[in-house]
Amino acid sequence: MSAEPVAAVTSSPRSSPWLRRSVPLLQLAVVVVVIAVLPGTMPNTFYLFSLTVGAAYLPAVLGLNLAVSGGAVSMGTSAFMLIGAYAVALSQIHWQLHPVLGIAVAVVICAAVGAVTSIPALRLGAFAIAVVTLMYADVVGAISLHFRSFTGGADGVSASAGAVTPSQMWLYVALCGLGVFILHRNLLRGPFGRALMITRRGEAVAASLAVASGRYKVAAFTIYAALSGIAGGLYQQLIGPISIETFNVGISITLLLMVVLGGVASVSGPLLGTIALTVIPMILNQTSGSGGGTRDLVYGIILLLVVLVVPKGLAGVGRGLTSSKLLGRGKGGTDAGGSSPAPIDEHLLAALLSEGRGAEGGHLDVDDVVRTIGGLQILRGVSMTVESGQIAGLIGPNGSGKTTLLNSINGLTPVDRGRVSLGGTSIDGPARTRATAGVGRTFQTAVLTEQASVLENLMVGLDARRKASHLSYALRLPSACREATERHAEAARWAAALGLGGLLGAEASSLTPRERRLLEVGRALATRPRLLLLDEPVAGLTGDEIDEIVAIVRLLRAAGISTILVEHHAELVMGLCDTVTVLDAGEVIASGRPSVVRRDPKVIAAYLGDELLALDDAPIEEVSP
Amino acid sequence: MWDLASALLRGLQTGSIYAIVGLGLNVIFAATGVFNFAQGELVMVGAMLGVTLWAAAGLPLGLALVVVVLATAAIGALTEVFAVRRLSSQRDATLWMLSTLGVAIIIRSSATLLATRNGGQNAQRSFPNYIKAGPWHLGQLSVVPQRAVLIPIAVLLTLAVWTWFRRARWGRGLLAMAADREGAAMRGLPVGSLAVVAFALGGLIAGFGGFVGGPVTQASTEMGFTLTLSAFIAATIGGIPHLWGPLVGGAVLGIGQQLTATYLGSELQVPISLALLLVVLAVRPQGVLGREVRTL
Repeated sequence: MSAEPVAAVTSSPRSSPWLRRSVPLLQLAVVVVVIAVLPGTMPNTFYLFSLTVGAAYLPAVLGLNLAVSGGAVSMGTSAFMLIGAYAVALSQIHWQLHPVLGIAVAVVICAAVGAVTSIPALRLGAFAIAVVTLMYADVVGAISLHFRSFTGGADGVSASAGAVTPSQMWLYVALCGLGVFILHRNLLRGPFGRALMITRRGEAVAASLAVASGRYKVAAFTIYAALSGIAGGLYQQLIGPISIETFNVGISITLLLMVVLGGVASVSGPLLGTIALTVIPMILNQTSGSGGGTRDLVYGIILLLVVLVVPKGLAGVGRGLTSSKLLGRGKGGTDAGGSSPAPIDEHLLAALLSEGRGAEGGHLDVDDVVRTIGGLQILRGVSMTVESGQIAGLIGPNGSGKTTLLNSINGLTPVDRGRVSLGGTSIDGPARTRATAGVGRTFQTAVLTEQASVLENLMVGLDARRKASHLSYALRLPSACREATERHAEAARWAAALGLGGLLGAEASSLTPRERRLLEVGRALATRPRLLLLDEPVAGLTGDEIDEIVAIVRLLRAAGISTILVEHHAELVMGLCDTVTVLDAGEVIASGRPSVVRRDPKVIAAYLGDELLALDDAPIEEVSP
Repeated sequence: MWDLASALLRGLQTGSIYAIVGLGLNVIFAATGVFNFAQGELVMVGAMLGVTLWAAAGLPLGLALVVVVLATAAIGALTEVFAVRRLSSQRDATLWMLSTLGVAIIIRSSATLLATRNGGQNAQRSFPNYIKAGPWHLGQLSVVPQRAVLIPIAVLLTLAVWTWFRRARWGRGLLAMAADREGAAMRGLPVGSLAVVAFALGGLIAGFGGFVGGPVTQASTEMGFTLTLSAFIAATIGGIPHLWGPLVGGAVLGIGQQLTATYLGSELQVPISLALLLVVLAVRPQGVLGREVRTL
């Protein structure tokens, strides 16, 4: 995924827009021609049949890729394929529906079943989802046995596609697969795919970026169910007779392996995986759906090896070979070209920040917040106020409740009592709605979408202000294309402002700690917060790097954005903040101007010791130039 | 009336097998935060290897049992070292799930290949009773000692593991890991070795369950997946990772399945099991005995 947007942004200005727009059309034309002439090149009908079976599976594989991208490793693909196959066959037998209409029926039924069943299942963790979906196939089988007069019971049903030659069948199935592939690509490269991938990294982080993780998971699972229904319907038309034995757990695992082998969350990966696991058995004279113990053993070994050795799959391997040359930085290579890292551009950053919501409304009131976990009071009636545009320091010993307080301000932790309001309005929803209301957040350890580029990571933040619908992104409607172009440009400006301009296409996993922190802060700022919560933003950074973060926080104040800074670095807090609040064992023991708090005997006793008194004599200007 | 009593007894008997397998799942999850997808396959190995060594090759019962549990414990330990170690610390749970799924497929297909290598089509073995007494009759209720003995075995095994967790050095280490993994590492506990011990113990319990439950489940190379599912449901109902949870959950699940089979039709067993799981997760996600909600 990482290489593509870079091409869009950095492509030479000389290439005309006409040319840029016609390249994808040209690619499409080539693919269609290849699909059309392929049957003629096959040495025998078995090869063509095998390829058609692979193409029939493709929609399910692409759908499964979307589901897994959001963290739902479904093992119930065969259940949805079975529903799809039965829908097409039974609607043909009982109501004489045309197969195309039958597939439409399959899509509707599978989408409905997928949506309804995913709502409880997707609240679970990865393993529980796998277990629950693994049982779907048995449930579908049990239902079809129970209504045997309608479904044919254990014998199954048969419906024929009529007078269609194998070449025509290939053409229909392959073109259907192509259409689904384009849809899948557009979804993955748009805000939908970015939201799914940050969801898989961590739902707390996703929520703090205003991403509705739960809805995206359900949506991805619903699309997956519908696409699996299409695959089942196509397969039924290809084969004819079907029964509950037609699709078993083995098929679900094979399709999962196609996704994993190709590369989860990549655009081309599932296609590569499907081709590999179709063509290799074909040469060994097997169709990809059948085969005995030996094949299963090989598949098990492939699955284990891919996860352990090349978790990015075939697509990742291919990208690794090309990107290190194109982008000037391979995996982990931070010193490519020996160039020193670019500094942040304060003017550009100030300009970007001034485009935000403006100075109004960043006033935070935390009133008497109590939070109890397992009988232990973590926060015992904490109150604090941050004036609009001020920098508030939050310090205290380990375990004093600093991070819990941040969590209860941005909604990641529910509170037992108390109120939080921003700009005079009470905010009490979940983290996602608070992020929309203007609460930004960074975490002690920067959580990024590792396999995505710097540009795409920034786009996740910008997506919080998305206007075009996901449908228009999926279909590449003009409104979505316009928005995508604008957002790419804006993301590139954020990157340049943060000194990441040269790394737009670099994978997040290859960044240094400094770059990761800047990217995380930039991603949070791109959501246009009124209040930014920074949880130990300089942890692990060195002198100059710390100064950069300090400079950014000062720019926030200048732009009227309020900041809460949780930090162990006492000098930094005292030098930078307008007010300081000290927590100890879940209670505020002091609050006020740094010069006052520093001399508070309770603070000295609880936390700072004598070092801060000694610091009194030292020039604070050293850390606040 | 006698139908009901019989369904309850059979439910407790199969539930005891779920409880044993679920106990293994819980031991591993408590210490490492990983669910081993291959757990059911190790039960299968226990049953297949057990019937081969004891019934076919004629080893004494006790010796066969020891060899079997050592073998499955070794497979469990190897799973941790090769397939889980590098993935369990990552945030992305899909990785270890997929790698243990890979291990499950490898074990299952290898067993199928071995069991059918002499041209045999059949990857199933009939597992003879090792307790020949009975059946006893209580009114119209027929109690087969070979089956009923599984109930005290499951309880005693759980008691033994529970005691080991509190008394033995390694057991206490695992308990510390279960309470706070990062804290255990910071206080200098050998968390790497403890993870291997947890997987080995999980494998041992699975192999033991496969052997002692063999006369009820019979032996088949295909039996693993279903057992992993049932064990996970039993553990979830009981409350993961509570050590006594699988006994409670196994009983609920086993009885639920047998009542379904008796009164509704055996094809509805899986749908009812799934419904039980979803209802528990919706109403009491921490399980019957659990105290805090965990994302599984």
